[in-house]
Amino acid sequence: MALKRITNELADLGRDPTFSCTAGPVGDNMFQWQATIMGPSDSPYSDGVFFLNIAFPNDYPFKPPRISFSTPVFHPNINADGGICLDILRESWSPVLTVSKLLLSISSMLTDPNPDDPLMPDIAYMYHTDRAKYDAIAREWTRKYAN
Amino acid sequence: MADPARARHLKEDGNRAFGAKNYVKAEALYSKALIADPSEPALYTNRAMARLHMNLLDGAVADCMACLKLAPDRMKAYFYLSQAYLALGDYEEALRTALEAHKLCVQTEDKNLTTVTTQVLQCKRERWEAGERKRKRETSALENETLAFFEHDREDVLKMVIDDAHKRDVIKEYDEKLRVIRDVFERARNSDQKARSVPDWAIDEISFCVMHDPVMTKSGKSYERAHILEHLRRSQTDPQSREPLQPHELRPNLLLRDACQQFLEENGWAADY
Repeated sequence: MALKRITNELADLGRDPTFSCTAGPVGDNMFQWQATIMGPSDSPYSDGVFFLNIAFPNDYPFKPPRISFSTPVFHPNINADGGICLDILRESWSPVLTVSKLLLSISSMLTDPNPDDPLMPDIAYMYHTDRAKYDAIAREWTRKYAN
Repeated sequence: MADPARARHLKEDGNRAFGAKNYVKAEALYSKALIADPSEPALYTNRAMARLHMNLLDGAVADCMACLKLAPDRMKAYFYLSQAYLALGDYEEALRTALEAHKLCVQTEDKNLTTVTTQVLQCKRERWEAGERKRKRETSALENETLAFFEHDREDVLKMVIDDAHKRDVIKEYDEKLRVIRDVFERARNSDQKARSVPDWAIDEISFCVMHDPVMTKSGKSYERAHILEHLRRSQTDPQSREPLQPHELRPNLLLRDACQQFLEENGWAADY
């Protein structure tokens, strides 16, 4: 069932070319995808293109896919390995969620970090206390890694 | 004299051989076990499963029938029967027995519901494809007959015409007729390929497949029974609202079931797995 569902999600993604994210299998393995998210224009990540790896478990969609950034991102909820702290990727996962919905959530998380549930306490602290510095570093990383 | 202990022993040996994919050996051991105890229903379904792997389809059917005589509610017997009929090309019986298996799974809360649901959809698809193949064969035969008829007719008319100019007109007229006939059949063929889309209401949002047995949650959303139950085994929440949800709170959505069934009758390609 997982393969069928993943195949259908891929077909749905192809039907919506206006979508600001892209996603698709890396090679012949339908369970390994790569995705891109365009940095939202109202954020210090604007003009960046961010790559993500997606790995589907065999019992997808009953379990969530594993998603991580392969492009370094300076963000309170993204760690040095690209790991993402987002509830719908873990305990709040629901089988009616899809890759495209997850990518949209990740994209809005770039604009609106959740500094109260940080994976990176130092960055979260900076976000609270010195937003200008935070924005500057995030922009710098975007220029350096996501161009 | 029945010897259940010996039968049990042989069955376990058979299961080991089956696990090692030695289906010939497994089949022989189940047969020996049946000589020791011909009244044990599970021996028949086990041998049917081995025979399915060996492509001994009639033998598998006979075993399932024998099992159902002893145990009329044996889900596995219907399930293997459906697989055997499907391989034999008897789509009506394959679907009927798959539906029996599905009914029994629902009644007994059997965890094989997902697999059986898949079998039901596969039966529907293969039945539809067989119907399409038949229709295409008939259409193509009709096209050839129609073309041959008009060509014959042209020959007959030409025999009665002496004037060369008139002959050319007749040939032209019939060429045009033949062209139109081919065009009509061609258009009919192409229309099969067009407009293949599945309405959203027919799709289960968990599997993204057309539903066979939709059940409704408290929030009013319907899902395929097998898949929502699978989700509830992991998390007893409504996938949409995240409110607490128990399996017994699900209600069959009979109107939607009829609508999905009707849709699949006409669009069997969509019952795809």
